[in-house]
Amino acid sequence: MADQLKQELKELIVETLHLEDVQPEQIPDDEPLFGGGLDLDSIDALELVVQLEKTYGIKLGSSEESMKALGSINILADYIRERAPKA
Amino acid sequence: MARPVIQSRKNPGPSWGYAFLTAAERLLPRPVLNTALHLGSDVSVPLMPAQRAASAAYLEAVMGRPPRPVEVRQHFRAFLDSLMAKLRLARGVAPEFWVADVPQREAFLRLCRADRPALFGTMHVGYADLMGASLSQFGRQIHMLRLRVGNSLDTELIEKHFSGAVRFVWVNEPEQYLWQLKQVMEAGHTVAMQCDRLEFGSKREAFDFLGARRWFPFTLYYLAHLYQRPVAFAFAVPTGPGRVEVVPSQVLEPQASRKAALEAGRTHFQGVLNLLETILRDHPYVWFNFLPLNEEAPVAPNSTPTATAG
Repeated sequence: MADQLKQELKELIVETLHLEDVQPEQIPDDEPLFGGGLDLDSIDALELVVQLEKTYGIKLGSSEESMKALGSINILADYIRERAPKA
Repeated sequence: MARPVIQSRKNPGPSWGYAFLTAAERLLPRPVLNTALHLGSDVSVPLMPAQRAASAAYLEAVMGRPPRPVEVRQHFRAFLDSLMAKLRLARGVAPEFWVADVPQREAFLRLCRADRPALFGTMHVGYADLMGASLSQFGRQIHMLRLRVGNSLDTELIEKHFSGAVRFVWVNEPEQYLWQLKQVMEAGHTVAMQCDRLEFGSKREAFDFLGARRWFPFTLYYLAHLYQRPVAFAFAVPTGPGRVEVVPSQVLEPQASRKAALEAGRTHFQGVLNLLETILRDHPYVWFNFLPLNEEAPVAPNSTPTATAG
């Protein structure tokens, strides 16, 4: 199930941010989502957080918490599993 | 709790400057005050070489020739006049705002009067902060985000005077800007943002402005799509003593598709810049940009530069 969540998250990132040149499976589990190869910025982070909140029913309160949760796919999956009602 | 002091290029004047100007306005007769202010402004021109150079570069771009020294002084004076107008508003002396008789006037007024949250954009043009106040006259509560600087008394006084109709959301750190904006948007508030400087905008795109392709922040349109808000810009241009003309842009309605929304945003913002350029050609001193002009974008090898309107 954990792998399924990670795959879902990768697809959500690609779809939400319209990353036309990136396939979900190309996103590594353990590399930073921001400041890494995806070249994402703070508006991307905001769009992603809003979509994650809608999809998983979680609430990311602050920029620090959000950026920490978006540390990598592994970290994000753990964060959602801990807080989401049905992840 | 002590406020952190933000090092910023903004508000280069001393922290006591606004308090001094407010006191001077209370104590001195208007003609004496105006003469003293203009003399003070003229003295500041040689003392602020970076701002003077930026003013000259901007005026050259908008006038199509190098400005004369008196024109740079006039630009500085216009900025001081706008500060005084803000301080007067904070004391309850409001100028008369009227919306310019342009084709998009009715759509803009409908949006202002509508009971739905919107995004209003403006730039450091004319009485931008007072424009928030003028929008509040339509019964809207306007939220404006501001990076906390050492001397923000002018905006604090405006907020105090409007007691809730205009809310300044103070941002202590630039990286918090978008996240505080998220909270304001999610609360369903109407937001006014200044969109000519790149300092807060993580998304930037190139548009035709003053004879070149230049980078501008484009974050507003991402937010508009994300929160499905209509967008309108307005420029508050002083046209005489106590009289301010509000020149609105077209209203951009939200679209469901992200791609379509951003494409419509590009067209809309180019229209906004064309409108601004027309205003600036008539009123060159009202863009208070004492920073280097928006950087030029490299021209793609196969593209043809587009002529700007005006």
